[in-house]
Amino acid sequence: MSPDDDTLVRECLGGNDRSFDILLERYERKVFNGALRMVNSRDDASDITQSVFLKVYENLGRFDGRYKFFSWIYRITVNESINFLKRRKPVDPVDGLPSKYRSPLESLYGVELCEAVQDALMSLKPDHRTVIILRHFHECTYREMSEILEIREETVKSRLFSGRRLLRDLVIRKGIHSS
Amino acid sequence: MSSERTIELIHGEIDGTNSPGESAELRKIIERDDTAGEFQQDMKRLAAVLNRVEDAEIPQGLSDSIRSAIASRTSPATPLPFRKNKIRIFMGASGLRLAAALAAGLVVGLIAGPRIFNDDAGWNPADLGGSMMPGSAIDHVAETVQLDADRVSGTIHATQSDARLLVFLDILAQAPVEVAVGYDSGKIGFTGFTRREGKFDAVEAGDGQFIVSGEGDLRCTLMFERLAPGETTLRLEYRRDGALLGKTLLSLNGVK
Repeated sequence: MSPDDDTLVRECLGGNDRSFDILLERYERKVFNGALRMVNSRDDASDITQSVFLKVYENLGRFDGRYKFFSWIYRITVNESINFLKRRKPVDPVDGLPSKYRSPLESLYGVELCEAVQDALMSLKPDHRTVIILRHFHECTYREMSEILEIREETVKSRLFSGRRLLRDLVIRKGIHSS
Repeated sequence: MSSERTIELIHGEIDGTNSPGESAELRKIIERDDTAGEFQQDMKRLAAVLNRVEDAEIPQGLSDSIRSAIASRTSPATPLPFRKNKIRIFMGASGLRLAAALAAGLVVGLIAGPRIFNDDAGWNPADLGGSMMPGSAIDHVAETVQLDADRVSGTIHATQSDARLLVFLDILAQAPVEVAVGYDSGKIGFTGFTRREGKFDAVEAGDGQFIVSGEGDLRCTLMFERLAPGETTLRLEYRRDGALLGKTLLSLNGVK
């Protein structure tokens, strides 16, 4: 049975390098995908993923064991992604998706669906995008999102509910909602 | 529809947080409120679509790049929690033999020096700032040169494993500078770049040259693959306002 995160962190701090490798294997895909959904660029998501793991490695001794390790690493991922977006030159908001998306949502599969949803997500403000990513792609609970984002659960819910409504409106307007 | 309570119940149903009592309450509301029913269907469809989106595959080589970046962290400003053991990861099974070879290489590097030359003359073998020493049992080799010049300081660290070569620039520039990394494109091919920290420009300039320019933290990793065996040399030049601040040669012997 694979050791839990807390055990791996303790082993890392005790000098067991293999334990950090296991944490990397466990979270690399999640961190990369979280960053990818936030910044919409594989290259930038790779940079962010690397930066996240370097920060985790260098600050492992400061990790507060009262919280879950995944909350901590997701918080770093969100912060790195948002900092990246602030540094990136503003991009004109998308005012129309390519015509290939103008079909019933159910008819889109695989890459097309991912691109359509991603384009819609990118039209949301980062605050709304973050909670939707955490809830729907990382399956975080309200409490976990509250921990990760360091905001009250009520604020999490408010952002999530607004974000969903905006996303729903967006996909309908873009013509990618189900008929 | 539109009472706060109804909206919360609809989202709660989507998120699976409603109690049986709350689910029953929502069903009753929907029976008498078509708008609420439509909104719930919209939210269900949206959630179903989001749940169908698949994770993207991580880029090839990202894990290795992260491992190498972690193994290369040598900045005293950011001490690693278990630096001693970092060397073990880095060295693999032939640690002791590598330690000897690495120590020899570093001694050469320290004596020959991480040199910064202020003349603009051509390259000279005396410019050598470090060398990788090959060894029959070594599967990883590394070299580090320290930079300590006017307005530019930090380290250039190279690691080599099999046919892959990673070059880590950890530079702090107190003024806008340009760092050019020249290489023999017949011997090594550029395969990738990752930015680890800092806001700077990076461009593959062609003709075997990669240029990083900016101010502040310039931390990035350049990835190469060996195209031909034997020694190859990285030529590093530091410029400010077009004037050459200094240069360093890093000689890399092929492992294979």
